[in-house]
Amino acid sequence: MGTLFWKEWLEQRRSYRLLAAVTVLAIGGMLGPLTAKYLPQMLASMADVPAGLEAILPPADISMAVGEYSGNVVQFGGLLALLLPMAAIVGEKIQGTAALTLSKPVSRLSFVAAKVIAQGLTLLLGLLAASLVGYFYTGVLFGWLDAARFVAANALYWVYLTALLSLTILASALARSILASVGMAFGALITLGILGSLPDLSLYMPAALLAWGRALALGLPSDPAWAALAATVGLSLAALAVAWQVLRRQEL
Amino acid sequence: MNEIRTEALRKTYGDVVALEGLDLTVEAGTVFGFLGPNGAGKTTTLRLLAGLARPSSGRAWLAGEPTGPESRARASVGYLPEEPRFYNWMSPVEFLAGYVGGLFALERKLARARADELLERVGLADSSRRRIGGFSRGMRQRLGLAQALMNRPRVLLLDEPVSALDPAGRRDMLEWIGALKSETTVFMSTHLLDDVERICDTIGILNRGRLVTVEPRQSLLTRYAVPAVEVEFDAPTSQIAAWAEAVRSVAGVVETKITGSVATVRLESVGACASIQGATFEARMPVISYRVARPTLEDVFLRLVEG
Repeated sequence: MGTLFWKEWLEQRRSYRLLAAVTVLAIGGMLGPLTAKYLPQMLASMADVPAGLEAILPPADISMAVGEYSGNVVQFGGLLALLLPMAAIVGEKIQGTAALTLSKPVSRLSFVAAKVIAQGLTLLLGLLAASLVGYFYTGVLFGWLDAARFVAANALYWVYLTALLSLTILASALARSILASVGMAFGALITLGILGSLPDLSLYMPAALLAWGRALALGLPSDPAWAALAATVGLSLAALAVAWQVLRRQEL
Repeated sequence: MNEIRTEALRKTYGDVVALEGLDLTVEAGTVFGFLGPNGAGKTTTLRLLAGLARPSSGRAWLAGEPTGPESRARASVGYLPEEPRFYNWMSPVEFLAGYVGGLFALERKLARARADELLERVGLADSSRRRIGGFSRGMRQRLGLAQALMNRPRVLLLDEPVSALDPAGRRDMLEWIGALKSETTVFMSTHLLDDVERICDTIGILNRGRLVTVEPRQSLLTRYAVPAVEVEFDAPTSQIAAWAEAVRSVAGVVETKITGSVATVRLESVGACASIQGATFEARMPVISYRVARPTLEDVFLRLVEG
């Protein structure tokens, strides 16, 4: 397992995936508070903006900054959770490197787990960069947030993104081509979104973590979504377990 | 002691039978040549032995351990696929010492020393820090052999190890494989008969998923090869053809064939050579050469595979 993780982590660095994830998420984190602060001024300076639009825009405040930050981090992070691991397993099967590795004395569970851990760590570091930049710009432009609550909110976003990542890894184990893997992962993402909009189910879906995180960051009163947290962690572990079982049954 | 053993090993893909009840044993210290035409089931057998595929029925053991996707046998095996693929962003030394050595749980210093030794052995020491992505096919094949030897395997499985190489690369690779006999049991699939004849001491012939025969190389050649006489004349082809036609009626002659000025006479047994010798002297044509042809593995292979 240690060697498999070493290889995955080295690949994250050598292939610039880590750098890309950190850069993209840091930019997303920075753009959140900047957009909230300067969007009204930018609109006002545009020539063809309808008259009166500026007046109906709500005044920029810290809640808007956190909302923009959360939206960016979840959208950019979601995209990365789809794109980074889409070829993780299927790519190695197609290229033949999986056969070379799995002819050695390693378990297929380790093979899958090393990928999830390395890619999860990449997202974590990306989110760390986003949160540092986002915290700083929000503080300078709107006022300082409670640091511990902001960290907790980002931890919830990471749990959410790791669930998407695990589903993409599962799709990569199931699919026979990289394109199919992306399609399946995107399908899973849409399905989660639809299920999250159903009133009876929304409390248990990963998307509930996002609302909880936003409220946490702002220090607003909200009911903790423990059920959604447990369900999201369970979903990640289940996706990992199914990916392992799928790979166990496959011939290379 | 048997290092490789299979019992009624069978593999099907839908309606296609890739391997039909393979019963095989390979003794320790053997260089075993697994011969067969394309599609005979050689790669399927190797994938089953390497634990990359599951048999439809039957069982196999390597170094005394049952084979399979999570088998302990993998610790004692080195496997070289037909076209080994690597992580192109790694260097050979990283791949061997860091990755393969780690997968076999070798201690770091030992793994590094073994990697350096193997890279030297396969002629890649000068390229040990280059990216594998820039390697030629021959270099990849050599690196493939090195990775298969990292764990000092008891059993080395090689799938068509030289088919993609140029003549010089082939010669080197065969020399390395031949030299491994004292270290490991080599199981090598190929369809290149010259290579098998050069280094393998035992030969198994597979055809359409069925094992046709397994024998030591010399006994196979002696038992199945058709003796033949080749006579080269300094005469017009029409005269040589007339001579060949006459020889065909001689007792013990199976067939005759003319290639340019050379007449090849295939015989039922070496005992019929004397009659051909007599017929050659009576031919009243200048003889450039007369020789009893050495039986080749190609003769055996074609006889067994093509019936």
